[in-house]
Amino acid sequence: MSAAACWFVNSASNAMEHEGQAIARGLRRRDPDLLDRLIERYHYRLYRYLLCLTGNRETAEDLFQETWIRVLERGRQYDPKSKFEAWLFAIARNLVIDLQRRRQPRFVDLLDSHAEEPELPESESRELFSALALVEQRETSEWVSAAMRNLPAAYREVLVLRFQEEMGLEEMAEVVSAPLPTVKSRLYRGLEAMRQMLEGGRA
Amino acid sequence: MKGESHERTQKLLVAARVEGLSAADQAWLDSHLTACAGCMAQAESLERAVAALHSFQAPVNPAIVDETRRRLHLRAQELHEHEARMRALWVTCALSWILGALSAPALWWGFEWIGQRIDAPKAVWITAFVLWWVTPAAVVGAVVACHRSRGLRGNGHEGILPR
Repeated sequence: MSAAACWFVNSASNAMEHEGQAIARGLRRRDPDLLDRLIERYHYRLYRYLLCLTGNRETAEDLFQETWIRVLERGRQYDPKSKFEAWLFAIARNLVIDLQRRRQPRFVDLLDSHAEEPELPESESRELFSALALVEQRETSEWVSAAMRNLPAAYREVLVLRFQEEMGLEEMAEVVSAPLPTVKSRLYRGLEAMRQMLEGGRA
Repeated sequence: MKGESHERTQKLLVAARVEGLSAADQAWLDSHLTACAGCMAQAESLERAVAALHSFQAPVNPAIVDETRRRLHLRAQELHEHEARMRALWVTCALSWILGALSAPALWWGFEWIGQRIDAPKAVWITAFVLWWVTPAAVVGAVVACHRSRGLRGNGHEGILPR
């Protein structure tokens, strides 16, 4: 790596650490201005993540509020060495798991388990394929929502983190509390499932 | 052989999106894609799937954001007040414990003197002394526990927030 590239990487990492420390200090003080700024900055991404995980607007809105309340209450646990968004998304994810554990234990098995390969339910795939036949006429967002709803939660989650949030693999492993190989394997299978759904929809 | 190369192409197409490819794999993939229309179609379908994920829009209701801000400000204030109360309580506890410890010898002497004056058995006045000494601590402990649980229950700890 060239000296200029090294300098750029170092200064970027220093800036990130500095920002993390500023956030940690503000969270310890429970500074309302800092919280306002964080909401302003992350509300869109957090809501999109929750919507993709839950597939339901109202639930996503409820969990959106609860996630920020948790950030306020547990701000002292934030470690400035890690990225704030990874911590934020991990909180949101845990709330989704808690909620689904109360409502629908099967969902939790898919999202929470460290089992490597959840299966794509056959009937749901077929249902999606017929929905995808209309893909040309539909809004992209609607199609993605439909596709995501039909993917196993563990795959859905990593696809969202990778391709919507553009997180690195290590960061994703931190959010989903799973080892790196598991995250990679889920990404492979999730992408493959998405691709097959698209093909099925076009067939 | 052909089947194997299609299979390899599919794996590489996905791998490129997950971890990236080595230069050699990328070159092999590019050359295969230019020669194989079927694999090229698959590559395009994967590209569309990823592009669809990228472009997924989920507009947030601004009222929810405002409501969240309002709740956060209220909760922050609530927590600040709770912490101030807890600090005052802990200071009071510490002072009371120090005073208790300092006054214990005098108190012991007092209970002993009263016990002798009213001719009470030793076990009775010792029990009275222990109760006198322990009761305030027990009461304060109960109050602290009660305050803590009330502070935690304040907002949002009991599942989904009311809308």
